[in-house]
Amino acid sequence: MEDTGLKKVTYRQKRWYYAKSKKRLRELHRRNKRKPDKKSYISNISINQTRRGYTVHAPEILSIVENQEETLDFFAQALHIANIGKDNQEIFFDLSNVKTVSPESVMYIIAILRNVKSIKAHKLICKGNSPNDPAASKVFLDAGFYLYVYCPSVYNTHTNESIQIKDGKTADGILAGKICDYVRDHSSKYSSTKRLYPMIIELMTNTRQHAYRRYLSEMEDNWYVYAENRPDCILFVFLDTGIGIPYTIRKGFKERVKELFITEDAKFITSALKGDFRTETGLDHRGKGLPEIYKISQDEIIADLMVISGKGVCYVRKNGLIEEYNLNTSFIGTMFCWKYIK
Amino acid sequence: MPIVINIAKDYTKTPGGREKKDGPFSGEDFRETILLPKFREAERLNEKLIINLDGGYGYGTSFLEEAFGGLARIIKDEKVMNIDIISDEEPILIEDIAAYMKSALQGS
Repeated sequence: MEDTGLKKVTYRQKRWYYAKSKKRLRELHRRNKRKPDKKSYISNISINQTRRGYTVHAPEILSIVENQEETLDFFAQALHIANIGKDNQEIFFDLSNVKTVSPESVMYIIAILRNVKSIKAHKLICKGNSPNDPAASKVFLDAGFYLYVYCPSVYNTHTNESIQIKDGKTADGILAGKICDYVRDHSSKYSSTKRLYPMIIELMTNTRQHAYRRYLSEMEDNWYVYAENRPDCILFVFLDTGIGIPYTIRKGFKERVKELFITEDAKFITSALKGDFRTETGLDHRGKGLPEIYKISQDEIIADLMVISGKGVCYVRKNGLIEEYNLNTSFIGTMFCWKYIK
Repeated sequence: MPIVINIAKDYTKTPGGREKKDGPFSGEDFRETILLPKFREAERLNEKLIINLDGGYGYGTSFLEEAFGGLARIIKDEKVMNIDIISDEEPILIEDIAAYMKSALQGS
């Protein structure tokens, strides 16, 4: 190979140059502008540092739906450690005390393990234990958690009572079709999946179109979906680990100024669901995905739609009313939970 | 004889998202590979174009808007409104598609 006289730059030098470059400084400035108060993003941080790394302790009720603050604090701790951890350190997820766990929390743990960029960049070693409580341990097994982690002592079994956690990056019509087939097999209403299919596809498409920013997103782009058969309904959970609806929607100048002082994430989610012109693209023919999901949630077959993104939580009721409130701890990404009534 | 497109048989039973980058069987791909060529063919032969939406799992808003609204944005003529849409399983989609095309024509 011809010698060009140019010095070969190593990977570490490249990282150093990039960190120092004006472009990177501009990105950091933009990122800090969006989240001016980093302390409010992570609250109640208590980190157990061990000789090899850090330990995060899961609460007894590990459920975003039932125990929001403690569960989100647990996730925030894990993400904080991922950002401060040094090369090859260990993060230990202590799940031994978990007595009650819901599938969306299992899904979020998987998302943290697989998608957090800094875990890969720093080559952090993620380890953990399973809950001592047999019922809680079964939830992890049934949800398909062990398809995503290496655990030689657990043999992953699949029952017909759930579609185990599936993930992807693009709009996957074949998976959405399989989910609809599953719903039809467990439900008496044949034709009603015509409204369910568009809902799943829209969520996948929204993830692809809007959720990620290469330099702002803490996690790589991915969505996760899960369905579980229950006696009276089928529970659905859809998660994307993007930067969240409150950050991606269009806002007016006054709203941008106001959000520096007051958290209004729930209000922004409500506005996006109701179809106010919030499309990030600014194009007239866009911005129909979330309103379509809101419209579908008014069907008699869909109930208890919950949307959580950033610091906002919205519950969509049958009469179209949206109950909203803001959290103390931020949720990275967007989660939709709903029930399909049999 | 009219030109008929049955999306479930001629394209896919599992339509995807809006653009090609969103994944397979997107509205953009459907418009480019089937809808627009058949529209041009129908125009050339002076025949009716009929789209049948039945038989699939369903259609996302993004898919329909990009396919039909996108067609209207390309053609920029009221003649796109002459397309016949059949949907016995979800009649509401017929109105939705007409609204997308109308809105696209007004915008362009």
